[in-house]
Amino acid sequence: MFSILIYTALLVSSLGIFMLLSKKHILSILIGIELFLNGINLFFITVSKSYSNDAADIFILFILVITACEVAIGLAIFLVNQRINKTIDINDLNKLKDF
Amino acid sequence: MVEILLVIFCILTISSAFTTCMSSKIIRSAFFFGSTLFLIAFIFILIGSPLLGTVQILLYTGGTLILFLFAIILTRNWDYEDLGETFHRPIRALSVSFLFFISMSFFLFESEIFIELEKNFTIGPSSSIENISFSLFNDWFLILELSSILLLATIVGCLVLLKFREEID
Repeated sequence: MFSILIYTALLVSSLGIFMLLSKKHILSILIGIELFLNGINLFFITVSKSYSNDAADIFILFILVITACEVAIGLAIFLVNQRINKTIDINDLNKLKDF
Repeated sequence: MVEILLVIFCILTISSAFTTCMSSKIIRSAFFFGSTLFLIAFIFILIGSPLLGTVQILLYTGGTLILFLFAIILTRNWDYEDLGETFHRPIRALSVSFLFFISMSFFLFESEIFIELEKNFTIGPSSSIENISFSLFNDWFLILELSSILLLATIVGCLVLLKFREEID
């Protein structure tokens, strides 16, 4: 069972990395980062069940907080980029520096 | 029984995450992402962390998914037509993610710590809500306060960004 959970965590993280590196849509990239962090959370919690301590639960709570912050800021940048540059493409994000 | 349920949830999680990657429409991708988060929360509950599962469903899945849906609604005219257009150098991304998976699997399954961890792994309630809240407000109190300041800074940052957008408009 331990191996299955670890493989699931690694696969979800790998799919997150694939999405993060391959997609052009900014929202898809944010979803990729979320997938990656969720895989890491699953990995943490699986390993913590072997050590029987609460540290992993608290780490995951903080990861959830930081991820929520990152999504909020990312979506705000996405909306600004979409209104100014009229595009959803990540490659045009550097045009924001002109404004 | 719990182990069979865990295997089913693991398979569903992987397939849901895969569909999230492979959807050309962002709205479908967001919904499959939501289902992935739900399934991971169920896994948390099944392996004995009900608090984390509940936080994941109520705060994380609810909050993050609503944010994504609002962003999609506000930009609904912007989407790619087919799957091929959504990707940028997919072979490079596939090779990097495959390398990550293979290297992590190799180092984990070859290490002696992993065998020890696998022996000690038990499904069950090892961390109660009482223990978590006690350590959160004693040992981890400073970090909890710092993360609340981080959340406040995020709110201010988002407001500044959106104010900037209004000035441009």
